[in-house]
Amino acid sequence: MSTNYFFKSLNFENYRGIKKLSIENLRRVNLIGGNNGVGKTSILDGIFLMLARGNPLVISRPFMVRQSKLPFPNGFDYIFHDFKSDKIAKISGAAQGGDYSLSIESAAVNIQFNAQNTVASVNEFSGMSGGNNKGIKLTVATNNNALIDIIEYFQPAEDNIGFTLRQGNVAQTPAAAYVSSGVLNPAEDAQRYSILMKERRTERLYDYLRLLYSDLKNIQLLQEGGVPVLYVEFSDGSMVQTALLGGGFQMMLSISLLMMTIKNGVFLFDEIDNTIHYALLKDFWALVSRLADETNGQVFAVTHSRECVASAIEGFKSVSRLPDLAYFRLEEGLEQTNCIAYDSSDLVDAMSADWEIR
Amino acid sequence: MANIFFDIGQKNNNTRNDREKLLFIEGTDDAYFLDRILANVNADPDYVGLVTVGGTGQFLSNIKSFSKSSQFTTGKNKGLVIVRDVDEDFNGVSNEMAQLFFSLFGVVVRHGEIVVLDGRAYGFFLMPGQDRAGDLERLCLDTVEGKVLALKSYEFLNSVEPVPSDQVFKRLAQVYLAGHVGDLCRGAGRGFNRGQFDDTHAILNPLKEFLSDFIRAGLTVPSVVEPA
Repeated sequence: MSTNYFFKSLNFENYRGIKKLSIENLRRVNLIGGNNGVGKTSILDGIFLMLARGNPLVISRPFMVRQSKLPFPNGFDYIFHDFKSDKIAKISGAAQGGDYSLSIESAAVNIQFNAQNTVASVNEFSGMSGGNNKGIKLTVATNNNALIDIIEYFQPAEDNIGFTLRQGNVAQTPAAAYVSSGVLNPAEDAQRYSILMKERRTERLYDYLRLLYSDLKNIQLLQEGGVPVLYVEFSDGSMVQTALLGGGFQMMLSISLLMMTIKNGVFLFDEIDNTIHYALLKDFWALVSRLADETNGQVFAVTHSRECVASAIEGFKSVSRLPDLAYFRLEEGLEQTNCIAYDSSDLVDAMSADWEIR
Repeated sequence: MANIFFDIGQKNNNTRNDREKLLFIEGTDDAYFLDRILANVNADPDYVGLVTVGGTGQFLSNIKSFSKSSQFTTGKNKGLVIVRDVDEDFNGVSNEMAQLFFSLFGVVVRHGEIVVLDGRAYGFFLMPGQDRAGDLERLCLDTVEGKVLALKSYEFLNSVEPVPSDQVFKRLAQVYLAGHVGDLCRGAGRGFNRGQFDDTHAILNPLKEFLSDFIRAGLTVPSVVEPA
């Protein structure tokens, strides 16, 4: 079992629905279960915020995937437990190369607009005593509070997020990719596919995708209306745009492309198993296991499905990587969210004797 | 007599794991036996359940799995005990069980005693009883000691070739059950459940007291059905 994946443990404090939570003994692939509303997706969102903090879309993503939009004003209050933005939210953990922490606090900023009504300058006020806009300040530090970077987000107007990098370099933490059921990005798929083409690694991708379509011959990157589009060519010569090939195929394509093109990354999967037919879940997890190992990635996947966990066990066994798998069930406690951890042998014992793990 | 405290089914049967008090036992024959004993002590099947683990080597993994289930972690479970055979080495099995409870729950327990820690009752009982070798079959046979059929069964088994020492009581129980009037029955526990042994015998009192203590321990709601 290789252990050079990024996060070894994670702690959340005053973040979203989580007052306090510790998750220890993380593995390369971590399945997360628990009741609705307990904070499973918040964990994925929190990791994503920590690692992709330089991208403003990360802030509004929880609203975008639900076809909603960030409130205005005070749109960042949702980040804080019980919307109490006077407290600091914190996500931290032991990681490869040292400890990391992300502190999120409300910050007052004074936005100066220019004649075109675009933001000319943003000045920070200490505390919340001044300024004309309520923003948030994200501070990432590593061992011994050595600062990595500070980023401030603010809302100059409705449907608008501005940000400024105050200090540091956001590239010091691993790349993160987030995949949710029903949320796909064909343009990114096309972009990543072109990387594989340049690196002459497309044959390997085809092998992975033949789990779903055994007659897949290749994938073509075409232009349609000036937009790059992926087409699958089948052995009978027919060509079908990937968008028409079903959610399971698109999901496997997106995940394969992400994991094949991001090294040392952290991958966040939100209930993606419900797009994949149960008979393919074992092969899907075997593929995830293999890709994560090959690219030194780490996976966090939320699932409600016992079948998904059982398939993951079988999939990891089939590629002899069972110790890379762990399962964590979150439970609402009085003062904190509790985490029940299953390593792979706990998981095998519980599932084989038909004990409930969810 | 129908089974009350368990559901007949597969080798591993944990369908009653939502009950507040759970008895972890080896297999179905033990379940039949304890089903009758629990009825004897007026346990309420809504609060007490039997969980079969499929063999003596499966206690640790099953109880560990249960300790991670939400029934346990959210505090719905109020107690768990193991009832199992000694077989040949009382001290060895006793130490093994004590170690199991200590490693999983940090609780120190001894044969026949119930300990309550953080509102949850723990314990184990080894059959046939304190400092004795043997098993469920021996305990059942003890209840009919001196009865004609038991004596004749013993005479018969003595008259044939010697049997392995670890199988004496199992084979004796089979001879006894074969000679008993009524439906054929292949397990001592099942025979006990059907009334082919004496469920009022004093040899069963330590087990009944252990179970009564377990059922009463830390109770917030009545889990014993008062006799009408």
